[in-house]
Amino acid sequence: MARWGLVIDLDRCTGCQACVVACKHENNVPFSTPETARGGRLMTWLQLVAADLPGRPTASALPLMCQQCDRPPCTDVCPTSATYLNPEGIVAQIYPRCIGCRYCTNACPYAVKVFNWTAPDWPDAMAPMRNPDVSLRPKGVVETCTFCHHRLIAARERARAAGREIAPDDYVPACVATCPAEAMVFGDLSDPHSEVAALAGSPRAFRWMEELGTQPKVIYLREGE
Amino acid sequence: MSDNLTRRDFLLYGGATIAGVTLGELGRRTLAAADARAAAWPSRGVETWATTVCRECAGGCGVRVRLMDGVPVKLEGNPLCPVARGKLCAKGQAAIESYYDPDRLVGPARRTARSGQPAWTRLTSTEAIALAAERLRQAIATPAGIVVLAADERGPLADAWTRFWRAANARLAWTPMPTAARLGPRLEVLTGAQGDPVFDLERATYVLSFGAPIVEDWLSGVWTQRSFGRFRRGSGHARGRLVQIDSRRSATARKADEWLAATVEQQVILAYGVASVLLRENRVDRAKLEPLAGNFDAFERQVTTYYTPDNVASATGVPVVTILRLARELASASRPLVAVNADAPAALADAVFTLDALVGAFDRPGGVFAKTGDPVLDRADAVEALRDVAAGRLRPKVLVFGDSSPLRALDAPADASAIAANCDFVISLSPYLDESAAIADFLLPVDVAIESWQAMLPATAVAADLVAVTRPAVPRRLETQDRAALLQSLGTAIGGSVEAACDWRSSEDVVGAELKRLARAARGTPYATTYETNWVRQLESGGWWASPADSEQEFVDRVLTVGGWIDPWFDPNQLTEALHAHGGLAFPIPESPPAVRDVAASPATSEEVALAADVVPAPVEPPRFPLKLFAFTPATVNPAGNLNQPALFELLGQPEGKPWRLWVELNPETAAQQDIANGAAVRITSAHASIDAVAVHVTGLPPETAALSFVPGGPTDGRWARLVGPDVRQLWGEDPASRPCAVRIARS
Repeated sequence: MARWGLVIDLDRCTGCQACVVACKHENNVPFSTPETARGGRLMTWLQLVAADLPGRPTASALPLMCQQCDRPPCTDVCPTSATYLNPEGIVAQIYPRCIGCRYCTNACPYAVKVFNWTAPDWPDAMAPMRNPDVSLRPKGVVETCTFCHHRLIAARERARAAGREIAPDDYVPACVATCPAEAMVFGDLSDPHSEVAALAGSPRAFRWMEELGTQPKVIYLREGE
Repeated sequence: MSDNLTRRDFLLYGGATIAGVTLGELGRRTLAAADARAAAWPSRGVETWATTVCRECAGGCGVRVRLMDGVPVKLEGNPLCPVARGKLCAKGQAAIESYYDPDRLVGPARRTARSGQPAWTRLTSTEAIALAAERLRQAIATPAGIVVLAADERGPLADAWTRFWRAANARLAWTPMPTAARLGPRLEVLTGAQGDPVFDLERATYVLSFGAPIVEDWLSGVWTQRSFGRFRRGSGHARGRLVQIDSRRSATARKADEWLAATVEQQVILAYGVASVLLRENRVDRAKLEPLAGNFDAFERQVTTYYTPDNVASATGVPVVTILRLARELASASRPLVAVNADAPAALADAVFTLDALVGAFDRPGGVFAKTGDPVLDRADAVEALRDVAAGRLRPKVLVFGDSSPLRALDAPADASAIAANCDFVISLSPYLDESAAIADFLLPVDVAIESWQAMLPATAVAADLVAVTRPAVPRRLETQDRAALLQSLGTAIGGSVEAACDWRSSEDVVGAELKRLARAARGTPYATTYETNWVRQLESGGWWASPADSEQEFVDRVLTVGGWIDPWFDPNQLTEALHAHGGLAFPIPESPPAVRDVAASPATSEEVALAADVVPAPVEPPRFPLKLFAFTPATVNPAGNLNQPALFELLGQPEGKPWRLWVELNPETAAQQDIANGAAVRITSAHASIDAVAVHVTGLPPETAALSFVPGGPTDGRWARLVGPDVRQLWGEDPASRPCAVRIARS
C-alpha cells in the first residue's frame, strides 16, 4: 500500500504562488473578495505564509496546505467521522457527513482546515470552468487539501485500462505539476527507491511543527547552505 | 466632455457605460448563448487536450488546455515546450479566467454620445468595420493622423500588425516588455554583438544581481524560475549563492542569501566600485581579457582612480568591507554571473555587462551568451506617445489601442480622460473591460489567446531559435474578431496601399505562411523532449539534418500539434566572434568620481555623524513630506492582457497575509515613530493626493524611504479589478519626473 507524501524544497521555492492558483482551479475553490479576505475568510486550500526559520535573515515564504499527518488531530475530534485517515495516508473529508461543527479547524495546529462560510459561487459565465472531477461543497462544511485525490482515482483508472500497475508519474497533484521552480516532489514515501523518500531523508528535511508529534507527510527542505 | 464633469465622474460613467456593453440585454443574450454548454454540466466526462501559447507575458510558454466535452476547464504547461517544459506560473494558470471573464466585451460597439457619456450601441462586424475604415481613411492623409499603441511582441503576426499600420501612415509605438531584447542595445555598445543576451542562470554558482527580479518575472518567468531552482539545488554543482542589490526587499531579495538596499543610481556606483576592486586587486583574468581588451587600459585607469572603495562607500552607504567582500566573492566563484533587470537604465546595464566582462562571464557556461540575429529595431515608446497626447502635443485623428499596456505603465498619465479629450476618435481592440475600453469611442474586441491562431517568437531565454505556433484551442466564445482578419477587412474597406499590404485573409494564413517557411528552412524540429532536442542539436552541429516529417503537410500538422518549432543548434561563441569583429570591448569610461549621494536612501557615514555632533543644530520645522516613496509593480500584475483575474488579486501582499490590498513597505523604526503597527491601515499623502494602504514592516529598508505596490485597477475595469484599490499614480500627479515622490504616512 502506497503512503503518499510531498517534499517542498524551500531553497528552490521562489514563492511565485503558481501552486496556489493551480490548486484553486483544480479543486473548484471559489474566488474571494476584499471583504471576505479582510474578515479572515479567504477560501484557499494552499497558501503562502511567512515563517521565521532558523538561519534565515528574513521570514521565509512557506507554501502551506494540509500537512496530511499520520497522527492527524482533526480526525480524532470529528464527531461524525467526516474526516478520516484513509489507508494510503491521505486525510480525507466526506462533505455530506460534515456538520460544520469546526472542531477539526480548532484542533488543526496548522490552521489549514477551512470552514466554508458561504455557498461556493462563480459568475454564470465561469461555471463551465469548474472541474467536473471535484465535487462542489455546500455551505457550512470544512474543506481542505486532499493531495488532489481525484487525480489518484483517475490515474488508477487509466492504469487499470492499460492493464498495468500505477506508475510514479501517473499521480501528481496540481500544485506539483505546475511548480516552475521544480521545488515540489510527490510520491510514495513507502517506496525506498522513490525520489520523495530519498529527499525525506535529507539532512535538510524537517516537518512543520514536528514537535507536536502529528507526523506530517508534507516535508520541507530547509533553505541555506 | 462637459465642463462640469469631474474626473471621478468620468471614470465612474465610463465604468458604468462599459458595464452596459458587457452586461446589457444584448450582452446577456450573447453570454447566455455562449454558456449554453454549461447547462449540460456535469459533463459526460470526455477529456481531451489542446495546445496553445500563454500570452500573459512575452515568455511564450506552451500550454495544454484540458477540455471536458470540449469545454476548457484547466491550463497546464506543455511538457514539450522548451520554455515551459510542462510548467506554468501563477499568471499562466490564471489565464483561463480571461476566457471566462464575465465582463469580457461581447462584440463591436460604438459610443453614441460624447466621450465619457454612458450611451453605447452594439454593431455588427460589417457595420463596425465600415465605420472604423471610414475614420481611418479620413485620418491617413494627415501626418500622425493615426497613432497606434500596443505591447511589443515579435513574430509573424506582430509583423503583419506593423506592416498594416505602416501602410496606413500610422505613427506606431509599443509598450516595451521586460525581456532580454531590451538589454540587447547595451550589450551591443560594449561588445558589438547585435542580438539578445542569454543569461545562463542554471549553471552559475554565484549571482550578483543588480535589481534583477530573478524569482519574479525576469526575462522569461517560467524559464527563469526553473533555472533558479537548478541554480540553487542543481545536480553537478554546489548550492548557488545569490546576492541581491535592490531598492526594496523584493521577492528576490527575500530569497537571496544577502540583500543590500540601494537605489538604482547607487547600484551603478556600486557596480563600478566592485569593478575597481577587481582591477586594483588584480582579480581579473588579464590573459583572457587582453586580446579583446579594446579600451580596457583607459577604463582601468579611470575606474580605479574615481571609484575607490571609500568614494563608493560614501556615495552609496555600503560599507567598504562589504564592497571588498563582494568583489572577492565574485572573483573567487567558479562560475560567477552578474545580472540586471531588463528595464534598467542604460548606465546600470552598461556597468553590469562591464562586470560580466571582467569576471570572464562572456561565452562561458553559467555566464552570458548572445543570441545574435536581426538587429533590434528602435521601437518608439508608447507611454511617451500617450503623454504627448495627454499634454496636447500630439492630437491624432484616430488613436488605436491594440491592448491596454500603455495605460498600465507607472509613467502613464493617471487621468485617462485627458487622452480621450485630445483625440478625435479612440478605437480599442482589447477584448476586455479595461482602461483602453473605458476611453474608447469604438470597441472592436479581438479573440483571446486560447481562441486564436498563434505564431510568436518567445522572449529570449533558451539558447536556441524558437517559434511558438498553435491553432485555436477552443471555438470563439463571443462575437470577437480574429485580429489579422480584422486588419484585412479594414484594409479592403480602406483600399490602396493599405489593402495591398494585407497579403492574408486571416491569422491562419499568416501562421500557415510561417509554417511553410519553417518547413523549407530544412533545420530544427517541432517541439520535442529534451532528449530529442539534444539529438537534433548533435545532428545539426555535425553537419547533417534529419527531416522530422515526410511531407510539408505532415511537418505543419506536427508543429501545430506540439505547439511550436525549435532549432536547438546554437553557437556559444557569438560574443567572442563579435568582439573580434568589433575591435574589442568598448568599456564605458567614467569621467568623474561618483557624485550621487542619495541621503534619503542611505545612512550617514560615521564621519558625518561625528561632524554633526560638533554642530549645534538650529531648530527646524519637520518636513511636510518626510518619506521618499518608490512604487513597484508586483509580479502577478498583468502588463498587457486581462487584469480582471480574481485568483491573482488573492496573491497580492502574500506571504504577509494582505490579499486584495495595496501595501506599503516601511522600515520598522520609521513605522514606530509614527506608531504604525505591522499590518495597520495607513494613509499616504503627497502634494497631489491621498490614498489608503496597509503597512508592512521591512527590516533593512532605508528608514527615509517607503515602497508602495502599484496595481493598475480602477473604477473603469472589470468587477474584480474595480475592488483592488486606488490608482497610486495620483500621488505624483501628471509628472513622472516627480517619482520617487515625497509623502507622509500616518495611521488611518
